[in-house]
Amino acid sequence: MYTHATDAGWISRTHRAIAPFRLQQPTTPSEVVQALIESEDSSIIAGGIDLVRRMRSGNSQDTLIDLSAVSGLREIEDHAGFIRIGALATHWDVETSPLLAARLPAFQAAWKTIGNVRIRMTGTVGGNLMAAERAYDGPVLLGVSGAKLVFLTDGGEVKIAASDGAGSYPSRALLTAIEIPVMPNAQLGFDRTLKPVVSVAVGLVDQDVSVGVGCAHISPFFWSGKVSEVEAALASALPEPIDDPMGSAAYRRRMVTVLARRLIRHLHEGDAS
Amino acid sequence: MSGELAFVSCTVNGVAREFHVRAEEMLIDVLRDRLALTGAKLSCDLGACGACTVLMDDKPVSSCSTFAWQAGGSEIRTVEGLAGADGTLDPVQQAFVDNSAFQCGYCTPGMIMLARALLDHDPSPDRDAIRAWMGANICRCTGYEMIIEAVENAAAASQEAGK
Amino acid sequence: MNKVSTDLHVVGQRSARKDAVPKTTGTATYTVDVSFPGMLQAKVLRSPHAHARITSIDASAAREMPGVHAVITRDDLDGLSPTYGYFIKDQPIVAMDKVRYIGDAVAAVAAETELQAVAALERITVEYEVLPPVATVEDAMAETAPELFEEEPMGVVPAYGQGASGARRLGRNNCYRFSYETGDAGAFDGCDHIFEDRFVFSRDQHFHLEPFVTVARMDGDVIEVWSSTQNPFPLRKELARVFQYPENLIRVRVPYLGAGYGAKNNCKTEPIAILLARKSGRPVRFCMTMEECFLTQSQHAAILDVKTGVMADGTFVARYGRILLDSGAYSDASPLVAEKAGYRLPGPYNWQHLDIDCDCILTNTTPAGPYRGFGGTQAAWASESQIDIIARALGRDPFDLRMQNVKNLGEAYVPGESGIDSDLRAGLQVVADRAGYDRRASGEGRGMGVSIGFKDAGGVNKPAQARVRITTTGGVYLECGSIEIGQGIHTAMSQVVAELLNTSADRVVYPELNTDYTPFDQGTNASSAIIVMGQAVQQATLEAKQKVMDFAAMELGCDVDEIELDDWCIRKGNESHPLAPMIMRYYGGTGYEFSGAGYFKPAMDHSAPLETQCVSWEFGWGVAEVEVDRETGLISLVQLVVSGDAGRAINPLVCRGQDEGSAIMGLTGVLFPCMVYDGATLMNGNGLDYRVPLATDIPDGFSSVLQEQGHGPGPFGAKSIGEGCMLPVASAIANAVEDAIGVRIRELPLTPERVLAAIDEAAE
Repeated sequence: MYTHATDAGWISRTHRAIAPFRLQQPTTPSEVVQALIESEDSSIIAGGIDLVRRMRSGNSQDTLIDLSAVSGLREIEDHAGFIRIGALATHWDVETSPLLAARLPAFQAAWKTIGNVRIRMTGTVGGNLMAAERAYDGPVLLGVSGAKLVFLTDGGEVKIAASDGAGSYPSRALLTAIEIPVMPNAQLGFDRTLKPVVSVAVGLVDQDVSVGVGCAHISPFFWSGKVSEVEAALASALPEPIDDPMGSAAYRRRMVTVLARRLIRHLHEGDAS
Repeated sequence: MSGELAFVSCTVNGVAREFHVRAEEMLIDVLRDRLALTGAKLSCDLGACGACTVLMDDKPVSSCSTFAWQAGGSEIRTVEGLAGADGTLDPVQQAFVDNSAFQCGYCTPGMIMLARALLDHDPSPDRDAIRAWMGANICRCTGYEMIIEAVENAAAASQEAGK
Repeated sequence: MNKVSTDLHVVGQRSARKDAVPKTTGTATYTVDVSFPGMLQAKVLRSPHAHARITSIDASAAREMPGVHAVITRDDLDGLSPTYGYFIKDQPIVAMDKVRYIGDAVAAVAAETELQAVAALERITVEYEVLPPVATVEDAMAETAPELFEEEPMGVVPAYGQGASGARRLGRNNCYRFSYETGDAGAFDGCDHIFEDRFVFSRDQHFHLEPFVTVARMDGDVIEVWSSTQNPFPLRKELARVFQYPENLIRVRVPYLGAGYGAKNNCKTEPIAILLARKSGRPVRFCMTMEECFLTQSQHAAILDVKTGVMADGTFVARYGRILLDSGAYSDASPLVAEKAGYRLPGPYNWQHLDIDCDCILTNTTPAGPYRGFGGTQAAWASESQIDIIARALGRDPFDLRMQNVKNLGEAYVPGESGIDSDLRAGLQVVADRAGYDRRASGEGRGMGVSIGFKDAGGVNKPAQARVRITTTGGVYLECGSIEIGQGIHTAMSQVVAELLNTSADRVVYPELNTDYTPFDQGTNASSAIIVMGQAVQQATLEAKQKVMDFAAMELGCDVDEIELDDWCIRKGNESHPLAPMIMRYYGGTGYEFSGAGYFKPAMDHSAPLETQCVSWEFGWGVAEVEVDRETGLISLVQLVVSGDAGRAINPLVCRGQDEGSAIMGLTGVLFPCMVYDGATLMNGNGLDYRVPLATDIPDGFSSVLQEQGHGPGPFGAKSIGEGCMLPVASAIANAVEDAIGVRIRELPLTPERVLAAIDEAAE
């Protein structure tokens, strides 16, 4: 509610009540990790969109570690078998990348639906993931694309599958890049028309499918398997969705199946999603 | 309970400016309170509505959610800097005037800067591109059609004038 | 003046608005931009409980905090009459005995910075005895429901005329009932078919981008209040009563408003700001956050039970209506909204018998108040939906059934009322033609629906005054209390004055509203400006003009009939006599001003149900075309065509903006979730989660058509524009959904889940 609660009541704060902090501006990823380790109470700021919202709610930290001076984290690069997107690439960088247009056009097209032009020009891919917001599409799209998230920790580089979710992100680590495999027959579909109630993304390689569900649970749900098993699997494996006045669990559950089925059918029939 | 100070230098509407700001100070307050540039308005205070939109290095940003230090080294443009020194309105401003593309006017500075950024980026956008871009900012009064037409007309007028 | 003249050169022009340059260059001043040296920031502590008694409150620690100059709790209200409201004065400046909704103001602080104010509020301790809340109308009316007000607050029931009546406290948490009855209840007995339906209307929030904001300061003995308000004169009167202070020592100043849509009427941020300013001796700014606005005012959700009797041939005969308005925790304008929701339920159709009750039910939620449409939106949702239900049951086209039953131009709305001042059939044809209704695709998931939105316009018994002054060199001051809230009224009024004086609109200056100088006006609301204030402005202009002409005739030694006024020159035959030299010759080199006063108020008339006849009637005709996804319930809007009758459009661009803006605003309550409550807790009360229409939601098939039928009571035949096109949107879309998939939905919003549930139910 962007209000701040005491026992006596609620106080609605503006941005002017954001608690003071110290600012650190490291210039390399290693310096960032060192700053994270040395500071007891710090947050990283990239574009700042989610962080500022939380600070307005009353979240505070001793130190803000600003990434804007860190070089080397914004490139979108072609590697053998995968594309590497630097964590500080903005959504706009993704949307306008000629490399992605050539190699991952469906991913680029889906990513373009995130937010609006103000958000996309400032918000970063890494920030979208690290925010771990239920309504965000980034984690869902990356999860079904088989992406890996690359973190730099004190002990070196750690890669985790995007579909493992924010719960597996290492602590005191810097997300440096996202690696998305490029596979010849891979297709991607995304349906966000029922947001904020539920969204579904589907990654398809022949008869292998990865289904990602957004908005309907605390964090995105992923399932992978054969196309022929999708509906049965979703019926049994889908955890109970959130039930609230915005949407019932039953409706969310039902739409997951409807949207997944449709996306798969469209992809098989060659329709653009 | 004082915060850290940061030193920020940037240009605002073409003029070099320097500030000492607290780390937690927002760009909108520097613009409104120190520079008397009150066009940018505070509304949702969450970066959602866009009433506070200014241009930072040609990008439309929510000044309510941009720390002043994030503007260091940048070129900031606000609605007050669009008109010429002789008062001639920017084509976007003129189009908003001619098309009555505003009502209460509270979203208007932000809308105009958003449109300015679009035409800087793409001088002849089609209607779908205009709608998609302008969908970033909320207007509660107009129903948007007259705004879309104003942007179309501004693009056409600019093309004609060879700008 | 009821004729449409074709010989006009200012009225009817698409001229640039008077506020165009200020608003497009960032120089327009709003209350949020007002600042004074030493100004303090006010912050409010709000109740975390929906319903609780305050057993103790201790702000002593807060008063000692750094930077704090004033603190208010219930202990600081001595000498005041500390509750305000419309008919019922039930809302306290800060909570006294109880808190009645989450967000209810408990205490307030003025400090040098916001951080200091917040730190001080955090030091206030409050002990609550939590009481069971009633979050819905049904809960609030139950036998065992706790009463929000154990004792009846002070209040009045106004006088009503023929057929209308009001009453207070008729049941649990029922703070007001408006009733209207005409004809004979036996009319139902003669009907061939009776239809009974329950409709549910959702609660929208105004979402004006400029929040509620006030800057208050003491200027000697004068309490000066800069406020984002739509009705400064009633506000002044209410503040005078609350603060037990002379009216003429309270000065309300109103710059541009960043919109209001009805929310900005009567006390909002003013009492707290004033009290803090008096206690601190410093100017105080109280500016709410958007989240606080959601906790201050909303639209009325409603349950409408409508029973309608018709003949087999489709003739409407009788209607019984019982409306329950969810009024939130304080009565606010609910009794007035009840009057209009009840009064507008019949729609612009012929009836033999009407029997309507509209009750205001208090619940432990945000207080509901004036919202564009003012009960007409809720009434049209029910009435225009049911007409389609009736049509389909009778095997009739819904368009035809409306054409059959709608009132003729000039027919009295109900006995004792003024006549309808638009040709309703012509208007419906306009939107049907534009949308291609005759050739519509109907069924298989695609369909069209029509609706006629309707409300009375001009307020009730509304007085307005205006003054026009003209300087030696022909500069004009238009002094009137109509506030520029975005509707373009400064521009339209200036065009009217300029036309009447045969000069250009840029010679007309509209001074800032200041209750010390501006003539009295009841408020910028009820779609009344051009038709009520417009008549006062016209009279003031003509009186000033008459004085000029009489003076010129005297100076020229001729008859007034021999001369004409033309751009501050007097034309006599072929001669042209500039006025400035003439004026200085007579009045001296220091010049003079001519002035005229105008006044308008409809006459008292006890045979009219609302004690005066309605000044005018506002219509919004609408056609919607939708596609419905039967697997998800998602509605895609393909077309939305709306039209209003401006009578005579003073400025067609301004009129178009009102028609389109109101229509799109009306989409909020239909296609998007609105205010979502989990019990008494609002879930989406902020700028990120609350879904308002964006440019990307507008289909290519959205358009408006401006009609000028010429029958209005305003200058040059003008009629109101500003609310009409919001009214048909919800029902037009629901009617289109029925046309598309054969399923009728009676509850808003039409979320995909609700539509799918209706599809499932129809399939069983």
